[in-house]
Amino acid sequence: MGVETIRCDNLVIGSGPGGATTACLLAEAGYDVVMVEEGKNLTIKSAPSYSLEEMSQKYRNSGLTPAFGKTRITYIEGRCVGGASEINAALYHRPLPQTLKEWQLRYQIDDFGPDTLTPFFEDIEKELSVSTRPGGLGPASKILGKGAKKMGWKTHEVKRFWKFEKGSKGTGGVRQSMSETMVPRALAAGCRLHAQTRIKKLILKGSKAVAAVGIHTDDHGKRTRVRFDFDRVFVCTGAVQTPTLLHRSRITEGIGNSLRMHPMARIAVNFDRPANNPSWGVPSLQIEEFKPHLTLGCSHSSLPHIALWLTGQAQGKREKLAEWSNMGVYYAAITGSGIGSVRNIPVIDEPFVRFPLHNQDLALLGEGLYKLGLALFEAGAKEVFNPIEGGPTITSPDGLDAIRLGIPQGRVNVTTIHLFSSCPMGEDERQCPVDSWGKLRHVENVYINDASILPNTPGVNPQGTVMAVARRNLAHFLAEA
Amino acid sequence: MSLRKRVTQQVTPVVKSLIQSVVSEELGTDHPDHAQHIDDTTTVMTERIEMMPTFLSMPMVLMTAVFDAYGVTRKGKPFHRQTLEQQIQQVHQWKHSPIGSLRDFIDFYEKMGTFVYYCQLENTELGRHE
Repeated sequence: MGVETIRCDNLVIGSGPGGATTACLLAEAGYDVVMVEEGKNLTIKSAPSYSLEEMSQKYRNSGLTPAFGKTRITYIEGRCVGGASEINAALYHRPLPQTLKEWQLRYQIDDFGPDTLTPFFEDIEKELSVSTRPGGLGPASKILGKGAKKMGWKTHEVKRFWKFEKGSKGTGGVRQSMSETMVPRALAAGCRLHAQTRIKKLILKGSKAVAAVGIHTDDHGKRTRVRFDFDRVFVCTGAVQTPTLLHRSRITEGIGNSLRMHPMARIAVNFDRPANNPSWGVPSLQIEEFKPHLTLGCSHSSLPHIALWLTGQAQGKREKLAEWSNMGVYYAAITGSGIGSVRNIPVIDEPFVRFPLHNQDLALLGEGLYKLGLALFEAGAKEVFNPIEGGPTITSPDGLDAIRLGIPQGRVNVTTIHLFSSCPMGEDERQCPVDSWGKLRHVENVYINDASILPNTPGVNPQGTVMAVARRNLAHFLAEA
Repeated sequence: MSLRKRVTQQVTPVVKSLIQSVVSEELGTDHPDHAQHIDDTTTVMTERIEMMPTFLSMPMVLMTAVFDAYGVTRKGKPFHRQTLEQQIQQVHQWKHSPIGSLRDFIDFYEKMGTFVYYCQLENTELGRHE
């Protein structure tokens, strides 16, 4: 197998929200840029959202990636041009100002905080059409809103990265993922995209990285070795793949030791009346009364998803699923207190992720599901399917006590798509392997510009924060250059 | 064909029997397209096992083979050659085992199998309405 060598001034590895933003802004500033992506270059409409096809096409390992601990957590990563922005719920938040202030103080981040980041958030909101659905809330959100109102809790309709058609109901319009926005802009500004190319490692010479080597696989499975020679490299492959790549490149100091995430548990609920319409996509109402440590909201609720969340929980599942349009899936998400790790497994070159879900986190998840159940009973729920494996179906608010009193380790399904902090940024060298602007310490020309550098859990859907921090870092880089 | 694909294909009949037993018990067998859905679900599930990280995929294949062989010790024939009733019994035995990894093994087939089966069902229903 020969080696194809490509020369560029700036190599961006990864094309998700961090990578696409980095490549786009560099290219638009006139820099020579190559962007490399392991997955395929697909359109946003190449597969229906949350379908099996989408999982095969765009999810790493088809979505079957576990973080190990007493309770296993299934995490999801995008593996396609656009990364996670192609498969997530496209929900947009600015983090709470106190969260950003706390990060600044705790990690000693220079020139960082709500005021510094505001212009970058504003740019994102304008450029990616951040907006609420013109047709109002869908049925699942209305139910949650009704329950929250009865409980006296604040709710919030979350804006989305979405260009809605005027007067559209459901999800009419187009998700403003990276493949629809920053990637085409980067290409128009001269960036060269190499999809289906997996970078195996960076080659170091002294204190500098000089090249990245990897494998390109074409549509017929033919593999070609590739080498990218560069002046500087931006590693933007997400909170799991970025530390794994750095470990493979023998850059290990402080890398991958502080993974954080938003663990999420779900309940399926039967209302005995229409409660669900998957054509509305992911319902966008959240209960924000308990933020940032606890967020309650609605999940995608198609027939297969409802069947999945009912597995092992309900007797007579078949009869219940015949009326699946009366059901909805709802979630509780927390800012996990655990700190996980990411390591590269030698020989097979895959990440091994550990994350401890502490008993206090399980208690908070239980509290969240309990509160969710209370609100949904207030809104007319007839049955809440017990999220604890083997637990009985709950038919009254009193029955929810079983969840509130504690979820045993390993007995509930926990998932996440929000992972970050594996290489946190800041001037506190004991905690932060990259400086306040994403530059790696100890290696001259390696930058990280993705969710890895968020120093802690944002407590909200993180894509907006990842992009705002990436823009901030790029603005600093361009000003210094 | 990759080594991983070849190895996974060795356990395809066991995967099919596992899907059949977990899905049939909960959802019955009387859907007009049941057999077709089971075949399609089996195809998707074997693909999913191939696509897992290597450190999960290989143990999953091995465990599936062990599960099949365990049937010989219980009923004198491998799991995939037992009757549906016998298969459901063996699934129950592992599902309620005190050993966590055996429970996890059945849990994977139950959850993913049900999800994929309903994806097939949904596709058929949508196709009918188009």
